Amino acid sequence: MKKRFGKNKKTNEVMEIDITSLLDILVILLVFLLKSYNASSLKLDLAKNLDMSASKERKLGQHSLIIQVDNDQNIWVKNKKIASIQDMEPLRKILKQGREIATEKEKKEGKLVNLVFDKDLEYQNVQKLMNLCAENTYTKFKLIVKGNFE
Amino acid sequence: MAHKIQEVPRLNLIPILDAIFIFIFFLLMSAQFLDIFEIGTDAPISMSTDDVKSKKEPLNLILDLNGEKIEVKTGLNETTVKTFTQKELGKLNVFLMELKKKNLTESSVILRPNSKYKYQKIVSIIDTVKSIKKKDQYIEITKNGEKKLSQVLFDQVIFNTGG
Repeated sequence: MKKRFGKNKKTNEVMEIDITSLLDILVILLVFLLKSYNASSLKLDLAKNLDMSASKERKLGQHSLIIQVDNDQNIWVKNKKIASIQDMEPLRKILKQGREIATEKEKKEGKLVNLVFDKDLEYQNVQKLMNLCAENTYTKFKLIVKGNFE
Repeated sequence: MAHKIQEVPRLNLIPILDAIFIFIFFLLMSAQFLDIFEIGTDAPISMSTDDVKSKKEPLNLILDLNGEKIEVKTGLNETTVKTFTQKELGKLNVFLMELKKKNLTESSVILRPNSKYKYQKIVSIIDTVKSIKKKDQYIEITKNGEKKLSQVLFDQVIFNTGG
């Protein structure tokens, strides 16, 4: 009887896992994620072949229409290549749609547009796109740049 | 003599671990590893109304960007005040600070780049035009009448899109 009781006590012991190392990893991950957390409402999926310009600017972006122009002068909207600087007709249609649904305030003050250009793009191409945007009430240009922490 | 071993009370970490896990998932989902910022600019349209309202002759600060040359022009007749090169951005910033001290109410600058001018160069000039050193910061009065320390030199960057 005494022997059986001792056997039972042994099997009931709960195995304990040492989670100290796991906790260490979690804390490191948490600190890293908190450090890289960006409160901006602007989420950007960078187009292929696009190297952003670096700037000292520290103003966080706002969510609105994003137009990207890559190094090959292709125009990207919502992660889709829709036009090129040489033929901007598809983009004109998109901007026109935006103009049609603009509120009175937006028509008066201008709509906001986020512009992402490749750093090696020439001003004439930037200018063409800006003109097209301005024609369609998108007059508040926000140039999206990457942080320069030098 | 029986020795009673004192048991150390163990902290229940399960709820805090759950919370940390949820927090990590939230951060992972919303993480953006590319630090992006915006530079606000306006179409030329927005500057016309200010010019009409002001009684004093406007500064009408224009930066003509051509090749390596940066020409600073002021006044309605666009007189060239000084010329800098792309490598002298520090000197340009000091010069613009002097201009700002004489024209504290002015906040706009017109950029007129050459058609072949590279975008990265334009961005670095915008940085120069906007940046203000801590020692040069001054107290400005906002539209609401509040006093605050200036954070930028020339806030409003306008592109001459028509040119």
